[in-house]
Amino acid sequence: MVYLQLVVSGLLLGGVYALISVGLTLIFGVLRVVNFAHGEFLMVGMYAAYWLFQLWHVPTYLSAFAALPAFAVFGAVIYRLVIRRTMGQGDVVQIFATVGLGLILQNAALVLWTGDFRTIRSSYADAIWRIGGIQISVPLLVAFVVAVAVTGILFVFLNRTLEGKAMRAVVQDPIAALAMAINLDRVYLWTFTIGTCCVGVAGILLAPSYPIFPAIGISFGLVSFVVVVLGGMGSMVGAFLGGLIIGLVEVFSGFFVATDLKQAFYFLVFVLVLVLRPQGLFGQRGAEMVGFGRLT
Amino acid sequence: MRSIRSWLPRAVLIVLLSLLPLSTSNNYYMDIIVQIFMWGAAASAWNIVGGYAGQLSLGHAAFFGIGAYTSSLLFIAFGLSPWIGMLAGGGLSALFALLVGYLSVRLRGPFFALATIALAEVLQILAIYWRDLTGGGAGLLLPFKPGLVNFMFESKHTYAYVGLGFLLAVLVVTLAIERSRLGYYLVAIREEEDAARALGVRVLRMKLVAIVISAFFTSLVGSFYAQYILWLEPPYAFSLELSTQFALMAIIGGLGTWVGPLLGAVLIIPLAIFLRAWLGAAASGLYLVFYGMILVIVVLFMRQGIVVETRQAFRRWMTGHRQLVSG
Repeated sequence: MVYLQLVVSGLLLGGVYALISVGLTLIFGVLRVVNFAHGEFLMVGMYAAYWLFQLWHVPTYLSAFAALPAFAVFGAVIYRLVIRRTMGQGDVVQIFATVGLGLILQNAALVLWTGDFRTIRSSYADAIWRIGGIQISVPLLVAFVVAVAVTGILFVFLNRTLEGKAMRAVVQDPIAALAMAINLDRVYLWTFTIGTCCVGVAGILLAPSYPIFPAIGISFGLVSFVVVVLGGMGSMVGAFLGGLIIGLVEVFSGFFVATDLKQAFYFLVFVLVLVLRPQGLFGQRGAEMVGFGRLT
Repeated sequence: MRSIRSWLPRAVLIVLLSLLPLSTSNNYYMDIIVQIFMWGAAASAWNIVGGYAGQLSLGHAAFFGIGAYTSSLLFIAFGLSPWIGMLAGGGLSALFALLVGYLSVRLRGPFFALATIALAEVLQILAIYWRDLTGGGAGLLLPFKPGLVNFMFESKHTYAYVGLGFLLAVLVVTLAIERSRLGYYLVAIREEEDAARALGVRVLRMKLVAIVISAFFTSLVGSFYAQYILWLEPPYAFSLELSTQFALMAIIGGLGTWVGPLLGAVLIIPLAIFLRAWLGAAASGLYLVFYGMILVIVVLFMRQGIVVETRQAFRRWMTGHRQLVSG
């Protein structure tokens, strides 16, 4: 019974991690830019849910829809102001432009909203389902279902729609895509905006389950890098499965070794994967180095 | 003539730096001077591997933390002089640097940066976990027993001169590397690793040498920090924030230039201290907002850092001036 509970908890946590990571893997897959500010985007989403609830009593799951246009604008502006200027530049520019962005967002939140831990006090925040002795946290279950839905929608979008096909074309060969009259800049803008919306929604859905404070993006951001590298950069399905694996690793190592050390385990998994199988479990060999790959 | 022209500015800089602590007896300004020397030394150490070799580590706080905790714990437990303890810390950091260096063979650019973040995080988690040894998240307080052997001083003046000694040591090593074969190898690796390897540069060995030197000095600065502040906690000593700041100063001043990181520290450190004094606790974090903005702007619009960009602007102005005069 304990094992079953651990598996359920691990999968639920993994769903959360998958939800956070989908946007990151999409952005990396298409733009080949590692967004070091990803965790801070998540933090902004969590604060959005908090303030919508605190000021106007907007239920959290409704604010996921309400805040979507705001995230879209935010993502588009960040792309225009920062990300576009880093495309095709050297490592220093690519890494430190988003590192600086993360520094600004995290500390702006600290200045505006202090370092206090905030929680959303609502009836569903600690709702729990009990099925035959197994406890299932309702907010985490919702996050899990949304993670499955978002992964599925993105998968269909990439494979069935013209815009999605344009994205995949850009990933496979940007020059050939350009020759087919695909507007690269627009595809990059769309991708970055969609990725930002994904992580914003993730932040809102996590807001009821986790304390909200300016530095929370650091740990969640790092987890999403772990998940994305494990799943293979640019692979939606990989990000989902990678999330589940990391969720299980965290729950089991927390139970059998020590709660305080559980994060150390997935960081070690991370370094091992980077060194031994840098393309990840579901990525293509060499895709992490060269600009070509496949979006799956 | 040429040698005088190249050495004179350096000599002037060293004399000016040495005179700086004499310019004030005010403890507040003296603190700024000590911090400029300390963080300038750390940023210069980062620059050896990040600027010259182009391996963009975001985990240098690991070396800083190892240095700070090793010298402090040895001092508290065995009364060992931190002067010796810091060398022990430097040795441990150098060993850890070998591990990081081997990673850089497989990983490039952002992936190396991510792996170094992960390793520093693992150390931070362990430092919090082993609370019997390190005091854990509650922090570690060093008893203040002033004396030369204990590396603790009543006067901030003394700290300033010790800090200056550390800074000059790093700068001299940087200059020596820049002029040596190693320096050229490192720049070749940074610019085109595969080509460098094809031409017979032993890439792995050169990277390892660079990162070990860099880690050793970062570790010494960590020990200095512990002796100066007399208070340590893992969430700061091993933090990503700290690693980012080392890189930030070097990038703002000028990557791969010997004086760039020091200039970055001169520009950045007073900003933080003034803001804190001016706006108090309300502004905690505000200086980091400014740091982030400066970093983004420099990275996007002044790619070579302030040193090189200003020099180029000055040259353009000079040539324009000359043409004007001769025309």
